[in-house]
Amino acid sequence: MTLVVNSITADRPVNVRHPMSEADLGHLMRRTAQRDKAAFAALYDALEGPLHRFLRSRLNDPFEAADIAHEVFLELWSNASRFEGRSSVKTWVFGIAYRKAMDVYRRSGRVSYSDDLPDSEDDSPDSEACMIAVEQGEHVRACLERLKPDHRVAIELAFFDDLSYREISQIAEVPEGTVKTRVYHAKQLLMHCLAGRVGKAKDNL
Amino acid sequence: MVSAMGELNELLPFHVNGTLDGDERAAVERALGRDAALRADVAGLARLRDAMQAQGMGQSPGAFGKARVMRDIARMEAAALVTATPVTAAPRRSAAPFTSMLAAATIAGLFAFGIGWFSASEDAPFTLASGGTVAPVQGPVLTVAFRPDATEAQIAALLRDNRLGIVEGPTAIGLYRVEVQASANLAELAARLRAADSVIESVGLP
Repeated sequence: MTLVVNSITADRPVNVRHPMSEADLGHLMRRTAQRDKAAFAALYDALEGPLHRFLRSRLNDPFEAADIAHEVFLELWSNASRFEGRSSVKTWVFGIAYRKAMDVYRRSGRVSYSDDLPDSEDDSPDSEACMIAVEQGEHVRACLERLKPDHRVAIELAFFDDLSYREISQIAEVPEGTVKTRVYHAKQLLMHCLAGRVGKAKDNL
Repeated sequence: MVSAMGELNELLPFHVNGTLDGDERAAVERALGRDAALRADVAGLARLRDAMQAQGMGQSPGAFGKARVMRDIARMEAAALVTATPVTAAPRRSAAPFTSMLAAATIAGLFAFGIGWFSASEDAPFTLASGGTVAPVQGPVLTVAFRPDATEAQIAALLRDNRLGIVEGPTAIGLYRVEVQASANLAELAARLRAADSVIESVGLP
């Protein structure tokens, strides 16, 4: 994983843009556990963007996502000493975020809305149309927004955050096979959606 | 062992993002070597991944969100310290037979506590009433007193603007210890705080 952050350390309080490795994140977690606020601030810089995007895709509401991200960082500060390094830092933090997002769902009685797209592996979308549509950001964005949250989170964690299916399974607390199936279905649904958007554009000409 | 086509198809996204390892990666690469349709799928997935990554992070609270988190952490710490019991404090005595003696001992204890807390507890961790602990302070520490009429919002803004965090207080005589960034110029910082005389009553250097 490559994250660009402003590095702030006790002996090197300078803003330096550099990639943040898992080892760097782990080091910041250990210092955060020792109540080092500069390390916590650096962790915030490294994780806030991906975390907010993850929550936004899960909750479909940027303001609610900001509030939950806030709660996640407070929990990270309070419980950093519980991080044992059995998963990556990002997986651990996203797991907290996922559970909080699920709590929001339960409290609000929210249910996943249904896609009106075919949910079958056997359907083969027009690959040429897909490839035309995939080059246009607004089509990709619109089709991502039409996915069910479970599908959207799975494919975004796989393709945006480049996480393995094992890591996604730890975050979402579902079996690895479920993750693989969700990502596959999400890809199929996206391809159908993209092909459909190009088809509609052609029909309107 | 990966063999079924369905299982291979499900692994392709993770081949594209480079997270497969061992047998699975080898199996996918073998299948790609002999199946043009799978190679086309991989190319399509790679373009989809590129398109998703090109979407960017979108807007997030950023620095405002961080300031909000740091402010709430300072509040949590201040709230915890109000209920904290210093480890170095004398053990609780059993009930004394004479109330007047108890009152005198309490007053004397409070006086000694107020004067001696900061030096006695300089490096000792605190045990919170809730059972948790607060680690010893690492950086320089100033001793400050806030004006009695300063509002919580004014105090929070002053702490935030000067990158300070309350690590202990208030003592019996109303003093707080505030942690300072390691890189801060203490004399300049103290002068700046003293100038904020609508909020700060006194500032003591370490």
